[in-house]
Amino acid sequence: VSLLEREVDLAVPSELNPEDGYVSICGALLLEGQRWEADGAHFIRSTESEVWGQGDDLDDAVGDFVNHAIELSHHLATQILQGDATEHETQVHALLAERLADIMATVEESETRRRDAAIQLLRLRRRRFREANTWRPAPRSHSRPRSLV
Amino acid sequence: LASRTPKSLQTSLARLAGTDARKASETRIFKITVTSSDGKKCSVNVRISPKKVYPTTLKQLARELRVEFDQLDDVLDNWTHEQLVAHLSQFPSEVLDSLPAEERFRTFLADSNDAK
Repeated sequence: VSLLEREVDLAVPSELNPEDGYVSICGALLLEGQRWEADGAHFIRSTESEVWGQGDDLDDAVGDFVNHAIELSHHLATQILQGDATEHETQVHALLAERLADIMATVEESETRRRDAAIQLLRLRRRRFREANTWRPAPRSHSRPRSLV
Repeated sequence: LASRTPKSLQTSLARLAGTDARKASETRIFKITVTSSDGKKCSVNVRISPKKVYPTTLKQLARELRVEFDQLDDVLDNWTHEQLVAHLSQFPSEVLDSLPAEERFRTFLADSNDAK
């Protein structure tokens, strides 16, 4: 093993030496956590709740982590509605619901910005190509066929 | 442990959580409610990821069920719901309530022992 390979190996976070970070959606924080690689796969564990994710690559692990957070939030909401939630479950649900609501607001804001930009672009193009938007009579050869009657 | 699949884990977890076996395949999060050693109502929510079972998946599962990794085979194959509830009831609420808290607790204990 060359020195370079050894350095690369050391840089890969392991379960004993994980990398601290957080999972975000559209720039909004979902949960803080730690990630590492093992068994040829990627793992992310939240340091704020029991949410975790796994996958063949990091994107896959992030996707599984996000799914777990959404499924747990839904599961806890059901427990609360049924009156079966513990104090801790209520706290975890409050945290997840707040973060997911912030994410929804961020996504909505970003969608609105994108839509406004598209409308603005359309208006500019219409102004620029206004002259092109004219009626033009068809050439004689393409005119309506004469009646055979 | 190598032969475990998400489906076989769902079946084992359904038995351990006392969930209706017919609903096991639709359930992804299994809830086990216990009374902690300090008398508080606590619950452990275990999620089975639908894709693959890696060795680390099983380590995580052992951690969530608060059992040693080498005990996991026995737990998944033989333990009853009552056995798991009795096992979990030995722990105080601060250990059962949150996995991150339980991990911080273990790290704290290990650091304290190292300091001694």
